[in-house]
Amino acid sequence: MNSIELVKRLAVGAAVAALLIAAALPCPAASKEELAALADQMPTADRDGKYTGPNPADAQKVYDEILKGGKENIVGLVGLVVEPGKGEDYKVRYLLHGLVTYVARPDAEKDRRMVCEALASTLGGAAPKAVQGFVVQEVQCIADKAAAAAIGKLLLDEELYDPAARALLSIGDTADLFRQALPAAKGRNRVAIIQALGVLRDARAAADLKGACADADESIRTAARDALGTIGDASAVDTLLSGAAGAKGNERTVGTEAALVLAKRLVDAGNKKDAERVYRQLWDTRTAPEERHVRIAGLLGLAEVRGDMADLLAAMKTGDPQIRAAAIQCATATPGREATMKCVDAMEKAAPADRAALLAILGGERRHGRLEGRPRRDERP
Amino acid sequence: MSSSRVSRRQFLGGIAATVTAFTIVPRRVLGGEGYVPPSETLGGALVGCGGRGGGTFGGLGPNVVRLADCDVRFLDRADQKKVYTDFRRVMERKDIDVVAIATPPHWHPLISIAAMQAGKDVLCEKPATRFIAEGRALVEAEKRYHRIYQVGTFGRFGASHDKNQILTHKIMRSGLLKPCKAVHIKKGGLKVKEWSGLVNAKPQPVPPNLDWDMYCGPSPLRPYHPHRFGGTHRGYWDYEGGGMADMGQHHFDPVQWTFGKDDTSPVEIESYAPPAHAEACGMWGWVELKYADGLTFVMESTEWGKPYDRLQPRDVSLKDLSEEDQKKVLAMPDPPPMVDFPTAVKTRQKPGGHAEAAHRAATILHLANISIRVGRKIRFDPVKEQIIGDEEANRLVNQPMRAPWHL
Repeated sequence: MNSIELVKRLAVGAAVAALLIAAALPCPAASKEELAALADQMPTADRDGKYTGPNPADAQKVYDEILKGGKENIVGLVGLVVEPGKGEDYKVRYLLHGLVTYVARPDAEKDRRMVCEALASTLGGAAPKAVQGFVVQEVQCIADKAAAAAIGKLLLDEELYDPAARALLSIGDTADLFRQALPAAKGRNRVAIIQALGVLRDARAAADLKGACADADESIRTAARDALGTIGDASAVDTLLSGAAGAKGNERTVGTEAALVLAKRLVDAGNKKDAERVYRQLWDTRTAPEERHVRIAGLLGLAEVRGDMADLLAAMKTGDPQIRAAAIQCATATPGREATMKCVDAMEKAAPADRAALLAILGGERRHGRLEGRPRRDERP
Repeated sequence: MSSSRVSRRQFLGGIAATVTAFTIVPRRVLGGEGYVPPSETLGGALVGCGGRGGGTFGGLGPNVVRLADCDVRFLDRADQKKVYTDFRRVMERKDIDVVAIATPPHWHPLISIAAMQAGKDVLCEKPATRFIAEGRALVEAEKRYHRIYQVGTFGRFGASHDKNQILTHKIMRSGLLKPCKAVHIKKGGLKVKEWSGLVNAKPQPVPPNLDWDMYCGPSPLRPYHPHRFGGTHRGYWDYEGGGMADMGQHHFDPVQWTFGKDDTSPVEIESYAPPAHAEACGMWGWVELKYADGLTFVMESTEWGKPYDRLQPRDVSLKDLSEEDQKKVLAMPDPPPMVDFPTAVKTRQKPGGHAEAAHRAATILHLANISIRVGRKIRFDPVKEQIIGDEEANRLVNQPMRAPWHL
C-alpha cells in the first residue's frame, strides 16, 4: 500500500467515523419556527372542523424528525400549546398526541422514556394550568413510575388534581404518592385521593380511611367506605356494616355495596368466615321490601361461602317472589351430588308450591355434578 | 229485636252509589283483559330525556308509570319530586322499580350499576359501555343483586327467530367446527365521519340550564362546547367512541349471538387508520377482529383510505362439518326464545340482551377503537379481559374516572 492509498483509506475511515458519530449524537433542537413548521405538516381540519387524515407513514416522518432533536424538541412543542380559546394550536396538540402514541410502540422504549421525561419536566412550572392538564393527559398514555413524582406534586392543585390522579392510577403502584398527599388534601382533592387509595388497594391507608368514615362530609365518608371495601381489609367489616346500616338514601346504598365488595374480596382471599358475617348480617337485617335486592346479594353470598343448599332452601320459603326466584336459580346452578340430595330430602317435607320449585331445581340444566361443564341445553350436540 | 227498614228510595240510592263507584273506577285499577291491575303496575324513571329517551322508556313495557324524569339540562326546572338533575336522588325513591337510561354512553354503566345497587331493573341504551372494564363491573352488579339488565338494541331478538342464523348459532355452539374459517364483513353504515369530533372547537359559555360538571361526570371536565353535547357527543372519546361504538352495537350485537360469541371476545385485532386524535374520534379504514377459533369479523368504513381487500366474506355451513357431525347439529334443539325486558322483570329470567352479552358486544367495538387509537395490532385475553404485551393499549381497557365517580 503506497502512501497515497493509505491517506485515501484514512480519509474514508475518518469520514465514516464522523458520520457514525454524527448519527449517534442528537440533532440540534429545532427552533420555535421550525417546530411550528413541522406541526403545520399535520392536516388542516376540514370545513366541518374534523380531520380526514393523514396517512400514517406521512405522519411518522414528522415524528421521526422531531425525535431527532431529542428532549428539547418535545419541550419546545409543549411551548406551542396554548390555553383553550387563546389561539390556534390544534395541529400541535394532534402532533404531540401522535408522537406519544408513536413512541409507545413495542420497539421504541428509548424514545418513549425520552418523550416521557421531557413532558414530565414541563409540569409544575409556569405554563398555564390548562396546558399542564393537557400534558398530564399525554403523559398518562405512556408514563411509568419514573414520571410519577412529577405528577404527584399536582395532587393538591385544585385544577390539576384530577388529571394527575387519573395519570397516577394508570401508571399503577403509586399509592405512596396518594398517601403522602392525603393529610393536606381537602374537598374534591381529598375525595379523589381517597378513591385512588381504594382503587390501588392500599392496605397501609386503611387506618386513615377508617377515620374518614366518620367525616362530617358525606362525600368523604362515602369515598372512604368505598375504598375500604375495595382494599379488602377484614378489620373493616364492622366499620362498613355499621356505617351502611346507619345511613340513608344513596349513602346507605353505596355503603352496602362497599360491604359487599369487601365480602367478595375476603372470599377471594380465602377468608370465608368474615365474608359470611357480612352476608349473614345483610340477609338477616335488610328485610324491607325495597331492600330485597340486598337480601338477595347476602343470600347468594352465603350460598357461595357455605357451598351448601341450606340457605337457598330456607329462602324459597319466603313470600317474596324475587327472593324465591333468586334462590331457585342459584340452587339450579349449584353443582354436586350433595346439593341434589339436599333437594331430594327437602321434597319429602315440602308444601306443594315448594315441591314445584324443587322439581324445577332437580330438573335444572346442571343438576348433576358430574355433568358440570357440559354444554347448555341449547348448545348440546 | 229491631228490624232495619230500608225504603225503596234508600235501596235504589245505595245501588246507584255502588254502580257509580264501579263506573268511575277505571279499568286499569280493576284489571281484567287488556288492563293492568295496580298490583302489576311498576313505577318507572327516565334518566336522560333527550334524543332516544322517550322511545327507551317505552321499552320498559306497557305497565310502567313514569314517575320521574332526570336530565342534566333540567337545572331550571328540577323540583326533586318528578324532575331531577341528579340520578342518585331518583334511585333513592322506593316507588321506582324500573329505570330507562338514555344518557350519553359515558354515563350508561355507572347509572345502570347505581340503579341495580338500589334494587331497580334497567333498560339502557346502547352502547352498554364506554370502555371494557365498565362492562365487567356491569355484569358483576347484575349478578350480585340479581337484577334485570337489558341493553337497548334488539337486533338479536330478530336474529334468534331467523332459521339460517339459528343454524349458524347451533353449528358454532356445538363446538364441532374447528377451526372456523368464517369471515363476516360489515361494509359501511358505521357513520364514521358523521360521528367524529371537532379538532378545533373553541370553548363557549355553559347554558344556564345545564349542569355541565354532572354531564362530564366520570370523564374529564373539559371546556363546554355544544358539539360535545346532544347527539354529537358521539364524536368524543370522553363520551362514546364515534360511529364505531354507536352503530357498531346495532350491527355486531346480533352477529355476536348468531356466531355464538356472547361469552367471549376477539383475541387479535388489527386496524388501518390515520393517527388518532387525543379527544376527537376520527376516521379509519378498516378493522379485523379474529376470535380464538378463527372466526373473523371485519369492519370496513368505506369512508377513508384504500378499500379492504385482505379477506373475502365466508359463511358457516353444515357442509363445513363431517356427515356425522352434521347429524349431531341437526339433532340439537333450537335455542329457547329470548325473553324481552317486561317478561324478564316479571319472571326474573335473564333477558335476551343481558349484561354479559351487551358487554361482550361492546367489547368488540372497544377493541376495534383501541387498535385504531394506538395505531397497531393488539392481542386480547378474553378471560382476563386485558390486552397482552401493550401497556399503552391496556390503559384504554380500564380508564380511571374523575372522582367521585368510579367503577
